[in-house]
Amino acid sequence: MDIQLKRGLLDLCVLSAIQDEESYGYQIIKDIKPYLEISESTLYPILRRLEGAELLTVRTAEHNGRLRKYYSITALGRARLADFRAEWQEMKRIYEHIVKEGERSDET
Amino acid sequence: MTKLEFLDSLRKGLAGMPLEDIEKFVEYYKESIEDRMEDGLSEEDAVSAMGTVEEVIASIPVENPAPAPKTEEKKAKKKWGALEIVLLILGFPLWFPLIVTVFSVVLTVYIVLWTAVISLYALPVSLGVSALGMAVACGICAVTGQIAFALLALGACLALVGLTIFSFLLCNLCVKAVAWCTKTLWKVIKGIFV
Repeated sequence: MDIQLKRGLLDLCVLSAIQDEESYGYQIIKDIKPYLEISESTLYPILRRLEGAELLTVRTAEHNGRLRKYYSITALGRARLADFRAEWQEMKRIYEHIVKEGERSDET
Repeated sequence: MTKLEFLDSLRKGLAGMPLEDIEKFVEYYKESIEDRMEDGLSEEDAVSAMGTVEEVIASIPVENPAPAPKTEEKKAKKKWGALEIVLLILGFPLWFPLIVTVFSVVLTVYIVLWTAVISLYALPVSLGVSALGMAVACGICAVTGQIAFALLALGACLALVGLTIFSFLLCNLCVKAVAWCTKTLWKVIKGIFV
């Protein structure tokens, strides 16, 4: 998949992984892995970027006697997700058009 | 490789980056390894799941070190200390009338200079109009047969035309001088403020 597209989708996947409740690094990776290839080293810059853009906030909390960082989505992050979902309707139409045209030209 | 070894070599590999960033980064990997161990992986497996230290270091976003000092520099330049702001406000009754005075003086000098220029041009214009009048008088006298008067008017007309041209050239010289003066004045004022 195109690198730029994948990067944008990863951002959205991370936001979507924390939209219901706050989550932590490893859990986010486990949530996204079935859909997109992601590792700790790819996640880190994404988290920093989203934090910088104020799409999510970070808090440190104790867990089993050690510290763990929890990420929660902001109103801005929710707005970004909503934007994407709205955009997707349009993209889906274009996608369906392209697929249909492909089938039609295969038949002839 | 154990967790501590991994984090240690990570820290060493990141030397040169801001300390705060290094700590954040190392904390993140420490947490990730511990979470995997909690999930049932052995320490060895949890560490190798992170990839090699080189891979991890290569993945660090490039945005971190470079732009940070630039923005700080800009901020430092723009920042006004509390003292400067207080002085600015307290000094308002002093500096505001001063600035207004300086500006009105400069404006007055400009107006006077250009008024002088305009009145100077009044000379060639009036001479030119007189020359025109003489030409008309010459024509009328010639038609009515008063040859002596016509010649007189013609002579006066030619003399006035000459004077007009001469005074016009003189005025041009004056305008050049005034333009030079205002330019110099502007430079001096600019020198005071900048």
